[in-house]
Amino acid sequence: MDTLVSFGQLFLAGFQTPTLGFLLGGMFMAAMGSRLSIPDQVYKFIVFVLLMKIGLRGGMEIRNANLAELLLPAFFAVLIGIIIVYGGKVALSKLPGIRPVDAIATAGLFGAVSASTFAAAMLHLDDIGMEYEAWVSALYPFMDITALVLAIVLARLVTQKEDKANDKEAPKHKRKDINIQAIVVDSLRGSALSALILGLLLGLLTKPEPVYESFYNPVFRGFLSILMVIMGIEAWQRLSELRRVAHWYAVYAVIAPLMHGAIAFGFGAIAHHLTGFSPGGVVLLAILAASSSDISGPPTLRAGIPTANPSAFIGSSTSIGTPICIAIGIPLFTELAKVVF
Amino acid sequence: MKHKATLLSIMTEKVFEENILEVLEQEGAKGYTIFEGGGNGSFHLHPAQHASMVDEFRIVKIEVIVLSTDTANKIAKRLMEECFNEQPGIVSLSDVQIFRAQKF
Repeated sequence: MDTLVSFGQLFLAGFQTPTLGFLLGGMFMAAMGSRLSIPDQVYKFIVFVLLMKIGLRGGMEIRNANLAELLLPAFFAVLIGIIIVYGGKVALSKLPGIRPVDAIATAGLFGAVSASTFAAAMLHLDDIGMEYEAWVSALYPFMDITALVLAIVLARLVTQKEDKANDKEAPKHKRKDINIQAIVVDSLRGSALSALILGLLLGLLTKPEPVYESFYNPVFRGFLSILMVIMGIEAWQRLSELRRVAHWYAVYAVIAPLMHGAIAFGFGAIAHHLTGFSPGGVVLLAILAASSSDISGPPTLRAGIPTANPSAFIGSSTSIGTPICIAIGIPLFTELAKVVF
Repeated sequence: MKHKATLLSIMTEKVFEENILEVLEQEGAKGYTIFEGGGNGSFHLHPAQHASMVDEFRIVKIEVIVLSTDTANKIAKRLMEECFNEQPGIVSLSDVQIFRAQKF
């Protein structure tokens, strides 16, 4: 009961934090039909700075970390990516009015990782003083790329099966094999992962402490609040697209983040007992799993699964999945960690 | 001084641009122009009026002019078969008159 009360208080307090407050503010302005808009370039720059900050800090910490500790969580990150995509495909395909390719693309996007949600979770842990390994950010690509690649491969298999069932001779260019390497390279070249990897490398190989302390760290909080306003506006605008597709997507988008987070929390707890993975690290792993990609995932999936309807997968992720993850997921898994560990 | 030529207009999403340019280059198009913009279509994903988080979903119009009608038809046919059987896209051909035929 105490936990429930404390969660309720935390949830209320959460509305007043810059993260959730600004997100809801953005949604409110969009709902009011405000013409408030923030230029694309600003938004891209902010995402770059946030990911550089996360990467730099991760890289600086990896310098002094025992890399063997990273192996188990990295393996779990891959495993969670697979479970989310496969589970999502099976669950969504059973629901009425959902095409298999749309189910796979949606599951793929929910398996992929949102940089902004991850940044918000890190900030929350800093605020409440819960320790975590900064190298958790290095787990991002393991889960993200696994989910995207698996989704694209599964979708290809489904399309080929459908073609065969319809006795359609597949056109010559479609018969070519699925090129997994090309998908991985394409994901790594995406703007989000590029910034994160650049930050990790610079943190690992150079001594960026002065610029980290004087620039990246101080602006992190302010930039994140602006990003939250943009995401709130986007979430509201995408909601109208989601209304055009089956309502089951909305149900999935509410349940999936919390379920994925819980699965990852379980794996994190195993790593905690085996290798001493910190409680804060477990929370961040849960948030990696609970979040769904908003920036780099959608174009990769659009290119890889062109037959899937983007209104379905982007609508569920941006307008419901991300707000749920930030509003409920982050406080929920933090409280859970306090109770369990 | 004026020469007859064919203008190919290709409308699609930016994310699919690369495959199309590959076909154009293979078929010997000497140049092309890309316009970025917004619009509305079956996927309702291209709001021109507000910033979109994902740049790759913008609509692009690729225009290329070729002298030979056969080349234009061949390009259009290849695009319809190789790019647009799964991906959204529109290809249109129109007769135009150009100057400086050596440029095409």
